[in-house]
Amino acid sequence: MFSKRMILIAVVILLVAVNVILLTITGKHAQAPSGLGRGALAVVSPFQKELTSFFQSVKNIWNQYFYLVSAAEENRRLKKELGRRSKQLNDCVETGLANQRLRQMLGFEPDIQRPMIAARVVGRDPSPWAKTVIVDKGTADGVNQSAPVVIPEGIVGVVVEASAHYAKVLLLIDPNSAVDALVQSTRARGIVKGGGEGVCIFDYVLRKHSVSVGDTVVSSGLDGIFPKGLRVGRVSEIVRQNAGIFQKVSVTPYVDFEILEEVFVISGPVSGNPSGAS
Amino acid sequence: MIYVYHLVVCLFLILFQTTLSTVCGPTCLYDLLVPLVVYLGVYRLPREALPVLILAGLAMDGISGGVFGVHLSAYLWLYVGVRWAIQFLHAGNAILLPMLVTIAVAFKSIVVAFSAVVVASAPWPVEAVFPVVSGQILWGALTGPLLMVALVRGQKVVDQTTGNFRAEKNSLGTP
Repeated sequence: MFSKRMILIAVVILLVAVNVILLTITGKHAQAPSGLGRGALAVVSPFQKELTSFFQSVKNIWNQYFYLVSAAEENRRLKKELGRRSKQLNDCVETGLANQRLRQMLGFEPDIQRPMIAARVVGRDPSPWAKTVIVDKGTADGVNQSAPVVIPEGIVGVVVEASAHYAKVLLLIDPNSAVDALVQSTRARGIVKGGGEGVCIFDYVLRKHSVSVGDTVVSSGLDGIFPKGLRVGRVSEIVRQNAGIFQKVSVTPYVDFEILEEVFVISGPVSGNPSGAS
Repeated sequence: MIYVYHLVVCLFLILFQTTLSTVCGPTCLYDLLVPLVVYLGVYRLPREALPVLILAGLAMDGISGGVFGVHLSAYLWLYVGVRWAIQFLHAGNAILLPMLVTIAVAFKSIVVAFSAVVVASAPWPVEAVFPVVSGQILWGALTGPLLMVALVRGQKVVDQTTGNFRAEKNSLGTP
């Protein structure tokens, strides 16, 4: 009744449909099924680590011995900057001490300090459609799934998969990322989501809340993953549409994800929001 | 020996695109394993090609943060497509082979972009597709055939080395 060719076409269509359905199912999960992702990390990442170390040492030789043309100028500039920052640090210490005394007087719980694990970026995502990096610390070092990853400039991302010695970190700019955040100056709250190409979207910020270009956005600590007060980015664009209750805010992360080399993974249990803190 | 060659090449290409090629930026970062898949489809038997394809697909899916299975699926469909195409095309042709590589790069780019824009739980904006896919196709068209030629040359060297080794072994074995 059916020709051989028609049966072949039908089989191919069926296989494509099954394939798309399977991909749709796996697409809903951040983790690879049955530890396959951890297996791939364990096999490929040691080679990535060695290769990265080699190229890093070559780069270091270049930076330390050959690329010294602008070092004197940079030294002068950094000394000036250091003086300014020392004064700022002194002010911060004074404010911190005052804050500590006031918190004690009001009976606030002290902030819990969580240990940080330094890790090196050994690999990047092979696809431009996923923003992840692989770091050389895993569950054996205390790095677990959902651990926040930061650098001094701000939030880098969150660990989505960890093998014994390596972990996969989903970067803040990936569309799957989300951080509960607030504008540092006005305390306007929203969710920072990855926008893909180097920017993030600050969603659910009410129109009535004041937000200006250049404002710093920090983590609110309410998502249960990132501790409160970590720098996320700077407001780069605001669109207030005539309709709707939210404004459209773009945030440029403080972290330059293209030159990421070392990161800190915050381990330990998530500290609860201190009572009374807002 | 040929399995070892395929696995070493596969590992090298994965390492290259996850550690060294970051200087190029995302637009030109096409999947370097695609020319390998085309090479396997054109020159190697399924029993030699399929284990490498499955391992490569699982490794890529494992280290990538994208939809799991998309690389594996793309490689297998690509392999089937290449096997089908060489029934009609002359595989050694200097024009058809680069064209086959370019089409394969385009297919892979579109499949992965489709998975990111349509299938993923947090989809990318559709506007992002064109610049990335077109950049990948362009770079794939320029460098893919060269990579393919390098793979064929490498295979010839491996075959020759294996042949010499066997001949030497046979000559030592015979009185």
